[in-house]
Amino acid sequence: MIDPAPSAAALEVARLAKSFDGEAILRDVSFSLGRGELLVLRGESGTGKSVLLKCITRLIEPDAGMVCIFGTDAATLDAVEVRRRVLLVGQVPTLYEGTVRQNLEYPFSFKSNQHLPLPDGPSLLSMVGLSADLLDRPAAPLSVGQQQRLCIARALGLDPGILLFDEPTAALDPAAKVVVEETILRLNRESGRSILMVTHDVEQVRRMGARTLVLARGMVKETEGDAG
Amino acid sequence: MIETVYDPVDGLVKLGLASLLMVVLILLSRVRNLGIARELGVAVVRAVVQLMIVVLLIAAVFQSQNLLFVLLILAGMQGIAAATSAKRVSEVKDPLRITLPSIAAGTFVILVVMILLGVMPLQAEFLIPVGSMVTGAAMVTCSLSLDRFMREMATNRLRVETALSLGATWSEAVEPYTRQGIRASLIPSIDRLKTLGIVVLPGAMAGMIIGGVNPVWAAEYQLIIFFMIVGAELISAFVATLLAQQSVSLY
Ligand SMILES: Nc1ncnc2c1ncn2[C@@H]1O[C@H](COP(=O)(O)OP(=O)(O)OP(=O)(O)O)[C@@H](O)[C@H]1O
Ligand SMILES: [Mg+2]
Repeated sequence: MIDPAPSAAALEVARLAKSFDGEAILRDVSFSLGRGELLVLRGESGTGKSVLLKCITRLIEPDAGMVCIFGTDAATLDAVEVRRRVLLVGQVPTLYEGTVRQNLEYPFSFKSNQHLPLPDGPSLLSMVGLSADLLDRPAAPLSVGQQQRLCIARALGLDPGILLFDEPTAALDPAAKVVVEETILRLNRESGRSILMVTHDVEQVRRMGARTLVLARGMVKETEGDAG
Repeated sequence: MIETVYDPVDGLVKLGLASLLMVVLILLSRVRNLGIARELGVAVVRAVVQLMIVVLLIAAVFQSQNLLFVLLILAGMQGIAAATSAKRVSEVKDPLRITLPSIAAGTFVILVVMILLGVMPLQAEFLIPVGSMVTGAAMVTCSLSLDRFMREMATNRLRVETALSLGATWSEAVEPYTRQGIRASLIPSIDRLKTLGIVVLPGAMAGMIIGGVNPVWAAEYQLIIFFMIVGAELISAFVATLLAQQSVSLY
């Protein structure tokens, strides 16, 4: 693919606004995610972090503002095109009927992904600290933490340029947390993926050493990364 | 067709005697305080009045053999069926936009195909009763498919959202739920077909046999009607879920 603007940021969000029933959740959100950058977004519960990520991937249509993806105005792109470039792993682990393998392969049944090679199940699972033995088991009885990791693995199979993680380690114990953190760091440092990640975990932010944004009162501000 | 001679006085006397049964039932439910006497009474009176008005109308149309009247009556049926079905999908705005095309497509596609094949004669005596059966069936599947689809969409909102995030188009993301809507709406018909003649002796056939028609012809006729009904149902459910899918959104 020809890069139209090799110097542009991976994601440029400008003056984004969204209200629900007259209540402004996002007022004026502007920030940018550099190419190959790992960025953390924090903010109290209910401030609109998830809404922001959904506005970026157009699951929610923002009221105003602009999103540029690798220098292309997202408004000029079809929503499916936006989501091929920016993959959101949602806050609530969501799986489909069938086995773990079927869940990993489900996205490849969509037209927009049919040009991609089918993923290697065992290596995807090991990236999130899950055993390959799970592959042919049904996905429904998995623990919440396992489900959360399976959802991350499923997204990694699509290998998009930009990844948005909405609290990817919220349901994990410390050991599993570290595995997922390392995978995210590896994606970022070794594969050069641009990543925006929502987390409440201050320790995690410190461990990952990323630039941190805080969302409050509908606006985003940069912090030192360790402030409460 | 039914060829027994009709004696109007005899007919009224028999209807009167049968009505007596209903009066007894209503009195009985009143005595036992079932709380349905009033509703039952109203329903009986409505049934008699509605059916008598309709039958007079139909008799007039049969007399004239004017296909324009037939078309008008069928069109009226589509409107009433669509309005009835629309009450089941109050979640979407303008539900008539979904139910009317669905029911009408089911009814008219099947009627036209059957007329073109020469199975269905282009006569009021056939078009009105068969058309009404087909319309009624299309209406029920339209309601059932929409009801199921909307419920599936409500319970699977996160799945739809996740599929979209993973690169699905809207129709790819909701496809499992349109499919379930269609499938659920056809269950009654498929079960009815499976047990046809064993568990239920279908209404039209029973009526024709009572009317003195050769039972073999009555059975053939019944099968034709059933195939038309299932065809209309499938089209109706398919169009209904397709239109509903286009008019709902995530939030
Ligand atoms: N589709 C919607 N319709 C109406 N209100 C919504 C919708 N989505 C989100 N909201 C509201 O927007 C606000 C922000 O929600 P959001 O899920 O973005 O919070 P959050 O910052 O992600 O919180 P948490 O940390 O608890 O996940 C909430 O008050 C929520 O009720
Ligand atoms: Mg959230």
